[in-house]
Amino acid sequence: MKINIHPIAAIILVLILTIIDFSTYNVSIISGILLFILIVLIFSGNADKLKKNIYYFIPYAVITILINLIFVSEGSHVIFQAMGKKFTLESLVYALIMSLKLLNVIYIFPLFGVLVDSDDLVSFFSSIAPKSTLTLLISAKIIPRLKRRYESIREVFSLRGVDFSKKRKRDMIEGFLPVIASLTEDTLEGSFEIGEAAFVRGYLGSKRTIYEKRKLNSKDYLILMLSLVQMIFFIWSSMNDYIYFDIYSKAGLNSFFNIYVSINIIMMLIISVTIVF
Amino acid sequence: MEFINIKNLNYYYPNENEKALDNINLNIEKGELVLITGKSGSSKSTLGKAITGAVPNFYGGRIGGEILINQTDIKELKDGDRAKLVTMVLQHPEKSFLMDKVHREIAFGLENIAYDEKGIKRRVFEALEFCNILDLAYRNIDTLSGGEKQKLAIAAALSYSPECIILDEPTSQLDPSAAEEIVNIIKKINKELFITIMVIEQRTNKWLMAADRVLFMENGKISLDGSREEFYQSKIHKYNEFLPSYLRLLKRLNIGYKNSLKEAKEALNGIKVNKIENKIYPGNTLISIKNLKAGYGDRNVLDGINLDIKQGDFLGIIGSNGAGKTTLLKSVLNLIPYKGSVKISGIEASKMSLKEIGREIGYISQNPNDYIWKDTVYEEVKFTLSNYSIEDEDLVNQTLKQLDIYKYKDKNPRDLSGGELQRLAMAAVLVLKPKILILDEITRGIDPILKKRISGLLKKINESGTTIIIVTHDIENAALLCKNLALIINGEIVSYGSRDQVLKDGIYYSTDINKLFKNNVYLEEEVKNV
Repeated sequence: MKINIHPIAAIILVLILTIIDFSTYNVSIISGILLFILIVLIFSGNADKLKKNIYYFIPYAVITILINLIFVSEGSHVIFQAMGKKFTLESLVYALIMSLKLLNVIYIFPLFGVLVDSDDLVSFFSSIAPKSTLTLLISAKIIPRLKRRYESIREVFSLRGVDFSKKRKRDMIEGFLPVIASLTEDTLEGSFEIGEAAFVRGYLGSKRTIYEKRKLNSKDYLILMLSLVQMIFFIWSSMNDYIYFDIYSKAGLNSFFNIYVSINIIMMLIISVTIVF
Repeated sequence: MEFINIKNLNYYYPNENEKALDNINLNIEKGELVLITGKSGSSKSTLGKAITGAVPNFYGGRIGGEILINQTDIKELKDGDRAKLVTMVLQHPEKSFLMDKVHREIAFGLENIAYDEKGIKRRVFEALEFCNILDLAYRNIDTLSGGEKQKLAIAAALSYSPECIILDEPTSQLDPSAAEEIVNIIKKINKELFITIMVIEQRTNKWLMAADRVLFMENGKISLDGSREEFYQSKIHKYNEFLPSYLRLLKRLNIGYKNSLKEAKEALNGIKVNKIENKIYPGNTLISIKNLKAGYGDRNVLDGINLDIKQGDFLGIIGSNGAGKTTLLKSVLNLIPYKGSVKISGIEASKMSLKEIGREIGYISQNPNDYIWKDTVYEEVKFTLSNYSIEDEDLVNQTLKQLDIYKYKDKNPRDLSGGELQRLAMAAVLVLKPKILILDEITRGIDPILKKRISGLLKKINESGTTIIIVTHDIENAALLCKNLALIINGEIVSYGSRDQVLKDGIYYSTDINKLFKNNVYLEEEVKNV
């Protein structure tokens, strides 16, 4: 089910969430963003999107944790020692925070898909920046098409004796070369076809009108206002180090959960509730 | 009234020295329904695209001559104004839809031409209603069938209320019933809204009866421009290949043009033909299918299929789009999970790797482009052998010769024509000398001359001992090639047997010639001893 808020409100909200996610290491605020996403996706009936995207997250999270544990020995709480190397609790927590940030970024894409109707988005931006919209549109349309082509090419090459399940990296890459070559050609061809269809139908031709013109309603204004207040409060509390958190500098309980952190999280929850209900 | 006037039109695609359009002179009257036919690569689509301005504005290249619409040179028209006058439904509409929802896709075109915002909704829904797809208005385009997508593309074109719609192969990908619906909608647009229609098609069966005028194109030139009667009566042999089978028969019997099967039946009254018995080929069972159930996700497509395919058979699996034909093939090839049993040479398919199956069964998909990635034809065929660690240059050469593409062995596969590419795809799997060859809708969208050539080739391959299974909704072609047929409707085999047994009692799934004679004669070529 789509929530369908105005594209402008959706873009600003998602941008603010992304900026906050990238600019803080405070685990409570990062968890607040995740909570925001969970509330919106679950209460809008899109919980399946959480499951689908977790598969992309797991391998990256494992790699991040391993790399951080192996290469960073900072911190005073040693979990264990091996081969003359310290593995610290701090480096593990840091890696978990990074993974959580990554998980938020992964979930922000389906969140955006739920917040806004893609046709509304195309229609809206076509009237503002038609050329850029066409480029983005081609990219968006080409992906599902490539997915279908990938299946069909993989089937054909499997039956021609190509083994895609080889364990050695080199063999595996060699196996996928024909598929990649065919898909590259298809991308060019597909982009051309979409561009041609747009041309034939008069796109970029003249001034555009808008079917079912989407106006900002009171809910959109409220979301916009709350999002901007959230952003301003986040910047202010960051600049004054009220929400500063660094796991390696002997973080106390107060540094990752205090009144300012709580206000940031509460504001996120208010926005999520406004969106869903 | 003169509507489109083309004078001395010449066109070269970018970096090409050969003319794609060669001195085209053409007048199209308002309200005409013009059928443009000819072989693949004869520049039919290029002509259509030149009228829409996509050639050369989108494609580039060099153009000479004039295209006037309502006496105005299209070079002087703005893109939006041109789109209001002439619009085109491209060959694969599903690849060119830009929105997700049906009603938004139609509105997209109207937004482009800055149509009055208050009137867009009315235009969108009237176009949907005219094309009889109002119930699809809020559906997601991805969920539509091929025929529904084609109707949507037509509704989108109609919503402009243009003076001319050009349709590029609108029925080539559709099964006969969906194709018939499209023809009826186009006829209605032409007759009731007086919109000029130009249909580019290689399969003329349904269109010839609707057309006011026929253009035949060859090598970028118009070699025939006349009425359907003139097209029929032409002494030039190659035009015959583009006639529907019942007209080819009438022509052979020196009977004048008839515009329907009913008229043809009356003209053939009193003519009797001898029965030709279709032999059933006995042999050992190569593929044994028992109680097969398969589908995608929660959707069950096949429901308890039982089928034995014998060595040396030429089996046609027929039925409409979505009936389950391709799902059956995919189950046999172990490309999708299934319940029940599929045994290939006695071994359960699900226990075989795809590589092992590939050794037993050669598979040709709908798109020959799926088979090319190397830089030469020779390398492409050799690639399959190398995957099985076989180094045998003679075998590669022998296969290329068998499929008559040895002369192209050093050519880049991307430079081959459609028919040559199709043969390369066949060579790429036949080089393994599989016992069985499976082909999925390979004659879809190809011209009759090429279809005849590929059919001849398949017959030879079958005669040399290879069992062939084709999936098709082209009944005439299935009747021409197959020894046995299996008719699938809604995931069930509702009729299986020799070609004659299956086609004899068909109301819908039979050939035009059988409808005329009802006498175990299915093809024009089989009408003997008249």
